[in-house]
Amino acid sequence: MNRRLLFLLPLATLALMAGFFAWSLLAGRDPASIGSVLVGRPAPRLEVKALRDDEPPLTDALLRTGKPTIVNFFASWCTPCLAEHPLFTRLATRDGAVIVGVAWKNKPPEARAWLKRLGDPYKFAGADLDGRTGLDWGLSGVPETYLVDGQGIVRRHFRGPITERDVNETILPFLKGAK
Amino acid sequence: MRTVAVLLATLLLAWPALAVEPSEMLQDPSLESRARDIGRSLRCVVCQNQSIDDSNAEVARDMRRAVRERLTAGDDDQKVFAYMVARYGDYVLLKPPFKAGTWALWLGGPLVLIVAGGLLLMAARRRKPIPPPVPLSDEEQRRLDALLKP
Amino acid sequence: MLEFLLALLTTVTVGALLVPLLRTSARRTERLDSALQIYRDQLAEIERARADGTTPETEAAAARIEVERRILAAANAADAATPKDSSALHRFLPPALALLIPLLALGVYLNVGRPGLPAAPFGTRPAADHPNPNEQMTPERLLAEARARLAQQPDDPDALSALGEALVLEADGSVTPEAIEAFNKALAQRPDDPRAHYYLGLHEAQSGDSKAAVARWQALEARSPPEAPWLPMLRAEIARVSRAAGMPAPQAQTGMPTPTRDQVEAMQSLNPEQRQQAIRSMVEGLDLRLKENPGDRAGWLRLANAWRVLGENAKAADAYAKADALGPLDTKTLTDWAEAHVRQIAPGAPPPPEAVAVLERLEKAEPRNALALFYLGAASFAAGDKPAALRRWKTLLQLLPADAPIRGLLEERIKAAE
Repeated sequence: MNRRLLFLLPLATLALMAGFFAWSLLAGRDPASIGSVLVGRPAPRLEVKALRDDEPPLTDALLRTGKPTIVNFFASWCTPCLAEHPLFTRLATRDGAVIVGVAWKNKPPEARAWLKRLGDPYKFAGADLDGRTGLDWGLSGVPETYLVDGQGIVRRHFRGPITERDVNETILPFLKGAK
Repeated sequence: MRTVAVLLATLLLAWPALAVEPSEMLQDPSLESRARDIGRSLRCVVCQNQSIDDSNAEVARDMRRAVRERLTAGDDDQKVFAYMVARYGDYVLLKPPFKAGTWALWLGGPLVLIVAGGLLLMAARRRKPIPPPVPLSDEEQRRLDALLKP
Repeated sequence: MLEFLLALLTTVTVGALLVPLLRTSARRTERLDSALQIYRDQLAEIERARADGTTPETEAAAARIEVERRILAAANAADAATPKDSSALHRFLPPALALLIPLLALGVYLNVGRPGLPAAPFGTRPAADHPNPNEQMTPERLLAEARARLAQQPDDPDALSALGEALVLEADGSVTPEAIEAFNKALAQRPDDPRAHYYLGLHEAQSGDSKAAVARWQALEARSPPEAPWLPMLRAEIARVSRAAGMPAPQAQTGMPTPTRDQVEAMQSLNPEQRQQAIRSMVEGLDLRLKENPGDRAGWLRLANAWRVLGENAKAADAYAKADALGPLDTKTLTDWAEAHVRQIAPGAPPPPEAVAVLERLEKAEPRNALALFYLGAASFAAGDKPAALRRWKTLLQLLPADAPIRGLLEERIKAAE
């Protein structure tokens, strides 16, 4: 082997690593992304008490109505939830979306007060006070949002707040297409 | 000797603190120790590189509780891992399984070691013995003498 | 005292840097001497090891030659370096740098800095700059104040949008339904209330309609006076929201460039005629840029306003029409546009059709607008629709204060129509 080439070896390694880092930074790759194993599978069990008074508890039947459904885990103590909340209001009022809200580790009176102040976009609202249902849904924190089609299959899982772009590029086409 | 003892004691105090709270622990010591073993190999999904036993995150607490519930219900360790993988994917395992997507992770280290070792060996074999030094020429000797003259 | 300390510090620092720079050549020979000392010690060490038999004879000889060659190499390096040291570059570089850098710094400071700015010690600053922390404006307090004002005047647009703002602050920046209601009520009273438009735009951005938000904000920007305190924040928000929504960045303000201090001073030294000329050339420059970049709605509005102020009413009306094609206009702008049209009308003549179109839009937006009522009345009269003319003029008459100078003219016209 040529000795000169050997000297180039560390340089080549450095260039390779720099290339990888540049790609990681520029390709919008999120190393903290943990993905989701739920996509493409039937939605996990949904059995929680109702958040609002005098309403029956939430059941799996809500997710198998033949209509696409949005399931959103939220909490009144969570700031990103505040940021995404107007988007759900808009989806419910303007686009007629069926949204199931689950208050995760949130005392029901606090969650109710929060919804009263900001408006309540949820057709069905449940309370997962101890986080057991969240665990079944592979939740890592709030907010997280799942798109469930009419047959109860999870089609998309957003970790973190949804954005206007998510609404325009994913959620609205899903609501239109999955009927 | 006493200083050494004190130092050792201080070192022992510096072990990472477990986040497992006494109220979470199981009565049965053997089940609890299995729960600890499992907890150490499960990743807290919101904290990058901490096991659920080390993490104070809400989710980690829920996961510890779920591990103990599964164990109390009679699941073996494999079933508990499968339960977590079904919800959070392979990401939740601190020791990833060997499969198509992870071979580079498992084989990369040994591969680099073998290649680097081979190269070093080759370089050592090729090394020629050092030739005896050429003595100084007369002119050089004169200059040296001039320099070293105090 | 402080200046003296600063000067002292600077001198010490420059000195510490300068001394080694100037002394390099002296240092080099010193360095060779100390190197030679080390090599001498090494040679003695080798000799000792050979003498007591720890190093074999052949190895000691090789080590000796190695060290001797190093000595020769060090001496060669020192010889080669010495003449270079005395080169012109090395002699003149330090003083040149020492002179150049402070001069450069002074130049930059005079250009960017404000040497004449008086000191502003904390104690003498006006109280507004450092409000008493106990009197901080909490959302609760703002809310209570706005509610108290509304209890007295339920329709006050200022109080209504203050209430909305307090509600938004209370909700950590989220524009709640209750706040939206307050802003809409404020707009019903005053259609171009900037605060209400700002927060309604924010609501549009929060609920996933960034396009509407940016359009609303740009309209607000276009009709805000240039010194409006909310403009910097508004522009930052427009940039933030359009970036977040992946929209093309808002076109750079094609508006008149903010004149620099020099330009303002130069402008003040001109006589009124020359000044007018300078302003005209700036406006014409804006006109040219807009012809190349006709999608800049805010720019067209600015141009229209400039032409109107300069009395070029036909050009102003054209620019308003261009802006109108790019987005809806608010009442204030419609009024300005209509004004640009009616100022071109000869005294006594009825308004031409394009003016009538704008006036009708204005009347629709604001049924009790005096300008629209007067000139649309004239148009109706000219078209032979006397009842419509009378209805408009009589409405206007009721709106006018008793001492309005136009009253007489209007009463005359009404009489003529009857």
